[in-house]
Amino acid sequence: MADRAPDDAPISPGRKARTRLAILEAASDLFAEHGVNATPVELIAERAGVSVGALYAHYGSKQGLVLAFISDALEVVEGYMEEARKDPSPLRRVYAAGDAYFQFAIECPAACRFAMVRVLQPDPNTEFAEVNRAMSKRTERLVMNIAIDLKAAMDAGETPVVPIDQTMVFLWALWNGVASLMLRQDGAAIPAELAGRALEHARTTMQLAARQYVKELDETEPGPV
Amino acid sequence: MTDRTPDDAPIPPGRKARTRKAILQAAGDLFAEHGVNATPVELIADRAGVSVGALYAHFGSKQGLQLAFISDAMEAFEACMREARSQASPMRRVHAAGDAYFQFAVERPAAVRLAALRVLQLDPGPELEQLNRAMSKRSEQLVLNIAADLKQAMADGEIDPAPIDETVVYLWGLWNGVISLTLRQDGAAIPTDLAWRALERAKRVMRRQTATGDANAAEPAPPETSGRPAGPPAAAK
Repeated sequence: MADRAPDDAPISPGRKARTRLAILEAASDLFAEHGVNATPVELIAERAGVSVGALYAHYGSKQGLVLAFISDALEVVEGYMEEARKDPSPLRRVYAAGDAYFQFAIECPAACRFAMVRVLQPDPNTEFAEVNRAMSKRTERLVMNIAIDLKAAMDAGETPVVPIDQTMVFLWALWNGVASLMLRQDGAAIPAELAGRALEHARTTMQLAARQYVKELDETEPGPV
Repeated sequence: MTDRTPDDAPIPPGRKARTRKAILQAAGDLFAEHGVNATPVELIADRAGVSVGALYAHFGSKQGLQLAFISDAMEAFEACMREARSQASPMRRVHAAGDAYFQFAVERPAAVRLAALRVLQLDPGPELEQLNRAMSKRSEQLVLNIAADLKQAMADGEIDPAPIDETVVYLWGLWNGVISLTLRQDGAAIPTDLAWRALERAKRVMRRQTATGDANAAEPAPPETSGRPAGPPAAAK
């Protein structure tokens, strides 16, 4: 305790960043292998070649690490969505958003699974409360943008005017549902190409059906059987 | 989880089944309330009025109990799906299956959530893997039945011909997706009636489009129009 080095002087910022990245990479690999919940921090530290203390020094807690992991993944999907939104046609923007989401599921399976598992579990468990809040907020924004584009597509006459809320549920459920058939881990997962073709097929039939829907608005009132 | 035949212990099989049922019932209630992870076996045993030892004797482990719980629900689900198959036309059978699936999810949310989580999470370890796979096989069979009905519906002209695998994935994915939007627990779940309306949309989407002869139709050329050029027939005079 006599001569302590001032600040963190001896550790260069470059090295610090490298360690941080190494931890995150180890975590990503292990999350993909075992799932987020089943991966203890000790294992992550070991894989990254650092002490558990160092891991906490960088990320504060497992939640901090999960937050960084999820943030990275969300940046991937947001990047694709941003790209998708450059298209001048609102309808194509909606479709591109679907493609972006699908691409995200392929590239970030562990994060995508985590997102799917998270919402099905009861009350955002306190361990990952902050992660949950961040994810809900960012996902909500993405969904909102799609709804806005869908509305614009209808206003521009690109697609017939159909109820927005139903269509959003239809689209979002379809994307999620097909992605989860692809990401399931019980040995019954479908191949990505088939998932992609199914989405393509759904898009075509849906577009055709929307035209017909407008013609038949006065038909039977939808509802449970 | 092998059923041991009682050597000298004269426990009547009826009682054994009742205990099993009581444990599953308690587990189902507690899973629904607190989630699987946050429900300790002690609490389940307590609620069922049995000892933890008895719980383990019946199910082997907490995971064994989970799988038994899903398996139990699966039986009820299979019965619903069989019921749906009593419809006369193949497409009605498909739609009835979708309705039955959704209805089941609304009635037994804890089981359906758990089943959805089961497939997304990693294998439960070697001792339960067989049971887990068996469950996947059973749900696969349900999907195969739907595929067969869809195929028949196409052959009968009830719906437009389309690639079968894609159609099945789209429909099954959609149902799963709507159900998980309805059952999510993060405060963003959609109301049941909205889910029903979206499912109704899905039915409409499946209907024949070619009958209307929509000239704006983006893609598939209806088979019956092939070869015949549009325009007035050349008058022979």
